[in-house]
Amino acid sequence: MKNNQFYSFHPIAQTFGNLVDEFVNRGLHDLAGGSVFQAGYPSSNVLESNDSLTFQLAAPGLEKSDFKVAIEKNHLIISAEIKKEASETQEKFTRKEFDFRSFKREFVLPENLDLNKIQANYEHGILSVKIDKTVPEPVTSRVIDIA
Amino acid sequence: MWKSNYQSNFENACDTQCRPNHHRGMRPENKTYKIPMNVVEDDTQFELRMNVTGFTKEEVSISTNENILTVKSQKPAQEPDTNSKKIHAEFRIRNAERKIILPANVKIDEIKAKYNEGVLIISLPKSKPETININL
Repeated sequence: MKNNQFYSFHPIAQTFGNLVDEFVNRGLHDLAGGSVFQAGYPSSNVLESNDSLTFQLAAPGLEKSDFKVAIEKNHLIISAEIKKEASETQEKFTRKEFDFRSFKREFVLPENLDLNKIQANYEHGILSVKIDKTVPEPVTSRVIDIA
Repeated sequence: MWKSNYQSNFENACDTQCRPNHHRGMRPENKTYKIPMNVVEDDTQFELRMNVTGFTKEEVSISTNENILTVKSQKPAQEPDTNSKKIHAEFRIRNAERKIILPANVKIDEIKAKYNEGVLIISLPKSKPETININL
């Protein structure tokens, strides 16, 4: 059951293409010092507890209003429009090791989530979206008499 | 020419000492990670933008010692969260630091910093170059 939930994230990673490349790049960068924001879109973590799933996105330096969190069918879509793209400003960078760009990330949600119970917040550069799990029907044990 | 001078001045002061030298599968707990940094320069100042995602303002410290600026991001030691487990992981919040040799034309007394959602912005005002008139 747990495994199924993990693999449900897999297809979406593929739609972003070049998964292998991405891992190789991240891996190499990790060796060179590590970063939470170095690919074209922010890195994510997914945490599971007994009663909820939490999706975290490392997207520092934005404003709450820059984000859009939406549910479409069983997809969680997190996107941000950054008002002034770096290329449009006249700032002169003499060193650039991380970047802010508009992005969109999608996650396929497992079935056991209550999509009416979603909380999102943005704190210290991390956007968290917490979705409660549906309460499983209590299994009532019963004894079947042998006729 | 001047530009390249400034640039070299922003080399990491600890490039040799605190560069992570671990390999996959061999990660000493006490190693130091480097805080990613952008530098924007204009006529009046340098602006350092440090990526300290996941750290609060209180968990970030800035200090100077002569011409070395040190920024540290440190979380207090915490009990591991046993209520939830990571089922997908792409980033980790790790203690990190960055040391920078300040260019000679930075007014160290007037360094200012602000924090905005995981980004630390440090402005380093430049002193005006003294013009020396040479009489012929």
